[in-house]
Amino acid sequence: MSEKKTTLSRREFLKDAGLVVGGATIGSAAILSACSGKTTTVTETTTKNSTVTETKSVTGASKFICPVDSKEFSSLADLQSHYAAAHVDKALENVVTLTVNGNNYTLAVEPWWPLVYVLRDVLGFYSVKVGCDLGNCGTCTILVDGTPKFACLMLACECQGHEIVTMEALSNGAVLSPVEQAFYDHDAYQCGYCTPGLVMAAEALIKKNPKPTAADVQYAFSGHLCFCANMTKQVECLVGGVD
Amino acid sequence: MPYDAAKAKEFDKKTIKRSVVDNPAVHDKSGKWIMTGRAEFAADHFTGHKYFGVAKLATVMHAKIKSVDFSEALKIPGVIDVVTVDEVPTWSDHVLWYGKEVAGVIADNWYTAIRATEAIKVEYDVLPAMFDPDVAIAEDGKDGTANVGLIDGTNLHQRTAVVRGGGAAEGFKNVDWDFTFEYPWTTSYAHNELEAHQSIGWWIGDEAYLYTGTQDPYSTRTSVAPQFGLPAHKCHVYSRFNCGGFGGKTDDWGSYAALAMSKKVGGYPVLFKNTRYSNVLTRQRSFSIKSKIRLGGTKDGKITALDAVFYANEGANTAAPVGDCIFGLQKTWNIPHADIKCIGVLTNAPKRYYWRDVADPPGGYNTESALEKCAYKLGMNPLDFRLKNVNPCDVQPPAAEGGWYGAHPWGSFVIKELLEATAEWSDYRKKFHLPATKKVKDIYPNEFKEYADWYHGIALTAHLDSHGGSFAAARGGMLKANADGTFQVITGSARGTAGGTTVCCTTVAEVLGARDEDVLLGDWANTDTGLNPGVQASSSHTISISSAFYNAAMEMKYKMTVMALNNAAMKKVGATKDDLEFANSTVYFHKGKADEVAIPFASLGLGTNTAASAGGADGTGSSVQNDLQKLLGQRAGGAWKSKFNEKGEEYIKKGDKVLANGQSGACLELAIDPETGVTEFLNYFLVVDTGCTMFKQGALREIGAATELIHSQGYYFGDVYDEETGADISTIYTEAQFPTYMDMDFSTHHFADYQSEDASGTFGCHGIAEPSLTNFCTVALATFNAIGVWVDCHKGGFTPDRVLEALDRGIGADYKALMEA
Ligand code: FES
Ligand code: FES
Repeated sequence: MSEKKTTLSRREFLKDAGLVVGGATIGSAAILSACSGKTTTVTETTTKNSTVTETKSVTGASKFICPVDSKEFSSLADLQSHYAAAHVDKALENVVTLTVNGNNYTLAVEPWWPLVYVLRDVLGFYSVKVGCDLGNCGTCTILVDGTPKFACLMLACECQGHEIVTMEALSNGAVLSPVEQAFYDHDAYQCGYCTPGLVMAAEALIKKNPKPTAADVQYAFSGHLCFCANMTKQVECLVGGVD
Repeated sequence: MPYDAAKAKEFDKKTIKRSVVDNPAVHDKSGKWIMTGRAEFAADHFTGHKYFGVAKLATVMHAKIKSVDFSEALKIPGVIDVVTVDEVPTWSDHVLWYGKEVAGVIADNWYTAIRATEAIKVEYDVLPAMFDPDVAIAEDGKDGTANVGLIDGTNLHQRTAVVRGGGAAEGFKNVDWDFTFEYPWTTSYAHNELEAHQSIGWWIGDEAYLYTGTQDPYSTRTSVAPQFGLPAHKCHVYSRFNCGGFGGKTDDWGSYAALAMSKKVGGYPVLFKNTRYSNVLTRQRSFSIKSKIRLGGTKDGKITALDAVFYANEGANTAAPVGDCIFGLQKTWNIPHADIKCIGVLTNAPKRYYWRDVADPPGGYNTESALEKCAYKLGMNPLDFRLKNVNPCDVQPPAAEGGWYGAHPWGSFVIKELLEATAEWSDYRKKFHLPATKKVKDIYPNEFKEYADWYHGIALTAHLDSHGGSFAAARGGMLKANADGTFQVITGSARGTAGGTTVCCTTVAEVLGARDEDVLLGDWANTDTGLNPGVQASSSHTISISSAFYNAAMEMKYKMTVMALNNAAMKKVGATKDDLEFANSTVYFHKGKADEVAIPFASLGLGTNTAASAGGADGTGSSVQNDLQKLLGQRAGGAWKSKFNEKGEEYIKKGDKVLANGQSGACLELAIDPETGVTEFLNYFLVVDTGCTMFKQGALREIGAATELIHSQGYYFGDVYDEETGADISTIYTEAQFPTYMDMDFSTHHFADYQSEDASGTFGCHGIAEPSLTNFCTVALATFNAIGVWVDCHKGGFTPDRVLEALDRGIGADYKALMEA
């Protein structure tokens, strides 16, 4: 029996579009070498203001193939030098500088990488959580130029030149921000998974409207879900403002 | 110094000078991590140094995998490797439901892995499938090949059977009335926590490591280790935070795959993670039941005979916890002769697991519906009928009397009090009427004008929570002293909700006389350093884990006393152990003002001390556990009192078997527009017994959350499957279209904290709100009271279309038929 194809997700669509528009999407993020069913991968991690290439041989590949022109090399180092020399344009194609919590991070991203993936799994801002990855729950909310946005619905490559703020920037862990303190004092969380998204939305609200009514808060939280069913407290703790 | 319980107890002479109940200074100890974005959930590790694993899921209900073609998937840039069902423990080539894992991909990012699963081609030998549980029952045994494929030749197996007195046969010999009620399959819901399941597995040499989203890291270790041929100490599990305040994260679903995938790539960390949709297909969906309940009794409304059969749809899970659905009927109602059975029905549907509130919502729905209709038939007020038949208190009759309570004694049993309290608060007696006889304006001439001509309905129920009876692991607590006079509580408990870890800290602070802020959370939820706290240490099991910490703190206090008496200043004043006072993180001697000596804990030299203790298995009634209950009873305002049963016998005395539980009562008043089928809540009163809960803020918060969940359970949850393929197509789950309180008029929800004087109540807070959830049956009962037609929660909620469908039979039609039958 053959399989039913399930629907194409928005992200898959974008990825496919990227393949068509940009030609090879290899960029500089992943160089794959496929040889007789065995694979070897070079992954790249990015640190602040620079890119560092790290290799990890996984299943013992015997040769290394350039994904852009299919030339073969016997070592990863050879492939890397070839890639850097011959495809420098490609390497630079997807490099962006993201400004997160006031710091600049220059890194290579695939055109279809969601911002939430880059913030979490490339840069390590783990306060940003993923709930639905579909724009339904608000868990991944961050501030982009002061406006709450769902990081799962933004592409990292769109974010150059914008100020991104995550929950990590709100306090140093010892002294809570007034919004965080209000949540804490009202026990406006249970498991805490939805909390960062709500707190970021609340930060934006309070900045714009320091004395919100219940209706104002409800409106600000209308794209958010708390599966611990804790939204009464989450709204209540902000009504009338925070000190 | 060995622990000497007798000696240690001598030190427990301190008056409790403060109450933690309602003390706003006692805060959720792990809350600061959450409030600063530093709470580490399972996936929040190994930045840039991990691969991503995703499972490909079956698109058929019942089949054997014939072949799997990975070739296209392997060509996708970023794919590292693939795994077959043979490489992951718990996966198999026998597909039993739509959504079972049939292959896996490891890639350098999650989105590539998802994409690669789409490129895998699977061929199946499709087998006959059984999705509809009624067909599974009807066809059972007729054709050996048509069964679900889990038990040879059958789809049915008995899960529970309870006989009381002479059983139904004896009971029905002599009754004045004899009624039978049948209910079709109830709906179910998915736990569906916001954090889709995620686990990171990695290997160092031959030792396995896991960050995983589970409430129960200990059970994960004991179930995962043998699957990889490891002794338990070579499997290390960490689960500090996990999502889902009302439970639902007790399975190890992703752990096996994460470790197997990591093994495949040489031990490098692999984050195995679900998409929202695959989370719905692979994670917990609660079971549904249908029932036939026959009741008989005497003219005055006493039920004397019961014959009840519950069928439970277990999906493809022979171990689904469906047997618990009889608890409400078994424990709450005092019926001398009874047969109660639960029969599991296997189907090719996803595996079924617990409900929130463990087992009671579908059982409670069926039971309460039968009781309500029975009361109407007898011409009794449903409240009076319940009060007549409810167990008066939790007297545990001897086995010779039939062992009615079986192996599950209940420590707190104030259902009768809750029925009365809820009735009083809601003014139920004044507002009650027969079905389809009152409009809103008849009850509220001056209020709710917009619903004046809608039908008014009212119903009142009360339930206990099954928490506490289902698990029987010993609990352990470990306490470590630091040189600076602070202490670390090491629980081995994951944080799924607030309260559990906090009450452990509070218990220690109270026993030691330490400041709250000096008792910290140590390396909790780490199987390497903590002791086994049980499945849900933040649940009603908190009493067990707290008693372990009580014990450990007593040992620590004993050590500290010896150290204090060896202190030069204490020696100088000739202090004895009876002269010492522990308070404010200081040991005091103050016989006379002039002789006062104060030694801060930080000066005792405690740095290398640890204390550990096992709390005893559930229900063992250890003296330490009972001492703790007594201590907590005092905290709650000196409320510890012996309780007496109808015969004047004391219950819950030292040495008794007790378990912590929760219970609640609810009264719903609603209005229904007969033209549109629209229902509006007028008032929803929820009364919850929080007993001597230490983390009261958390308890109140959870009760508020429960009212939201009851509302959404009544109207939004539903089983929506494509019956041809078995695919879940409910957007509530698949697209996280979950209602929140913003979808409801929350001003109609009222909740009260009924703090019973029973010191064996719940001590954390997780278990407190859950018993409220069974009260979603009030929606069915109040709807019947309003319009006199029965709307079942079969496949969905009490939505306007379903109300209108029932109204096609005419206002009051089902009530009339009931009374004439
Ligand atoms: S994860 Fe972004 S909205 Fe749900
Ligand atoms: S606090 Fe758990 S999801 Fe909101």
